[in-house]
Amino acid sequence: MPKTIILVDMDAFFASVEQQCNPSLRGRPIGVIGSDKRTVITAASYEAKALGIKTGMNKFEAKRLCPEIILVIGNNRKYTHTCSELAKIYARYTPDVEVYSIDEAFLDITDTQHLFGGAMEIGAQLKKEIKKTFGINASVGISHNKLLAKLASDISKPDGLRYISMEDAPSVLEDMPTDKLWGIGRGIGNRLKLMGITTCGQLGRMSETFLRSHFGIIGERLKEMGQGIGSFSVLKETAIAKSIGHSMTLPKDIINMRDIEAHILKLSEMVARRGRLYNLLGEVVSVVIRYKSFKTFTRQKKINTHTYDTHIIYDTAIGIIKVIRLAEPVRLLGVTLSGLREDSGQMSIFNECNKKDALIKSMDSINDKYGEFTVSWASYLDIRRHLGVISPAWRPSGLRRTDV
Amino acid sequence: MEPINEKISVLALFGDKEKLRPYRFKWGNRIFNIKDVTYSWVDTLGSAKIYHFAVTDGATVFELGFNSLSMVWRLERTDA
Repeated sequence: MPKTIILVDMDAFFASVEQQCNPSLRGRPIGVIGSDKRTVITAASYEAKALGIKTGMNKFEAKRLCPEIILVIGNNRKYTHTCSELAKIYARYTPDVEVYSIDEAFLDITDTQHLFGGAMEIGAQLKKEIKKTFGINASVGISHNKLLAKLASDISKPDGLRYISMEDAPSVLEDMPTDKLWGIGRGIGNRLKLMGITTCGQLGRMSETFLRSHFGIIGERLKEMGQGIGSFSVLKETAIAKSIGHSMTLPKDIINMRDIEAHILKLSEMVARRGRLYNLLGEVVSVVIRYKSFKTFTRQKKINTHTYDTHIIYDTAIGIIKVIRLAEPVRLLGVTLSGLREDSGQMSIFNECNKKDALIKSMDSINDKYGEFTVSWASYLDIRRHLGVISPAWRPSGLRRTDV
Repeated sequence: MEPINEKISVLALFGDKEKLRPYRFKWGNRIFNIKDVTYSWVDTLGSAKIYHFAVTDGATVFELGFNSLSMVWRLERTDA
């Protein structure tokens, strides 16, 4: 039996939420930014998009292009709450839900669609419920795999509902530009164009050998994508985590080591606290650094023990940074703990370690009761309240649900 | 939106369909009648749940927050 997959994609999500909150913003070009000191637009309303404003655009460039644009400082808590509530709506239609990102979710309705009058009816109901509950629009794409469901949603935006059946897929794909396909970015799209391949129809007819000779192992996958063949497995949140990480776009670019240390300590504490919360110890610490120019790189180091101790993670992260000669001011920092295993709860034979554990546990219980960073390390007092952007890995449940 | 973060008195209804809805609040010496709750969201502060409401009196947008542990309402922000 062929699968039936729905993709629900919220239209201009952050901007739509802000327009819904503040009626004076409705129907006007708005751009959502991370903080008053940040310059990158993280979401643009449809009115702003129509005037050429794009996500990732610098706010000065946006102002030049569209002087009437209204810049709004986003509130991550609104978006994460909405995403969690959306997941509850999806769960009424099927237990097989994959929250793919903060504003997109795949639903496998193969076995439940008959209960609700069919796939199109579910799509229409979802749109109606989302509009009624939050006042915002979603685009819904339906097909027999995730690739085509995503395509159906993308080509029906905004506020669309589109079904691509197995029979319709070849005609839909024939003249569809390859870069409309999920997974074909600008880089691959441009390389395909240089080879004279501009549509999915052409891509699907290319020989595997030709594509493999130019793109390596993904060549075969590209051919399948051109033919509309894609995965239909909807991945539910798994209990086993491979890593725990936090990153933050800083309120302003920094180069001073003291400032960097303060942010790394905060990130180390966030990572360690989540490890303690889920009883997970890690033995590899990674640091991600993004420069002002957006050049991004990661360095990692294995430590000789499994830990969720803030200071061991911090010392390792700082050790990594100190051997790097920073070439530019830093706009984003991240710390990740991997090589995870569950804590068996073994006591240390060294009294000093047990004292430290007791201190950390006391801090955790105070923060559990009164809120994150109520008790924190003095070194990052000045920055503790800064909230970053939402990580693409954020999910409404499980280990990846974090306060942002 | 300007941050305010002041305790306020709120007339609200705990209902069955809409669990909690503010109708009127007093800020300083003025009473504001809430015409529309435009958005609501929940987050946590330690063990307390905070219920946030974006509301308008028809002219101004306010963000109110209700702390479920301390049972205190705050005017968090306004665009006035």
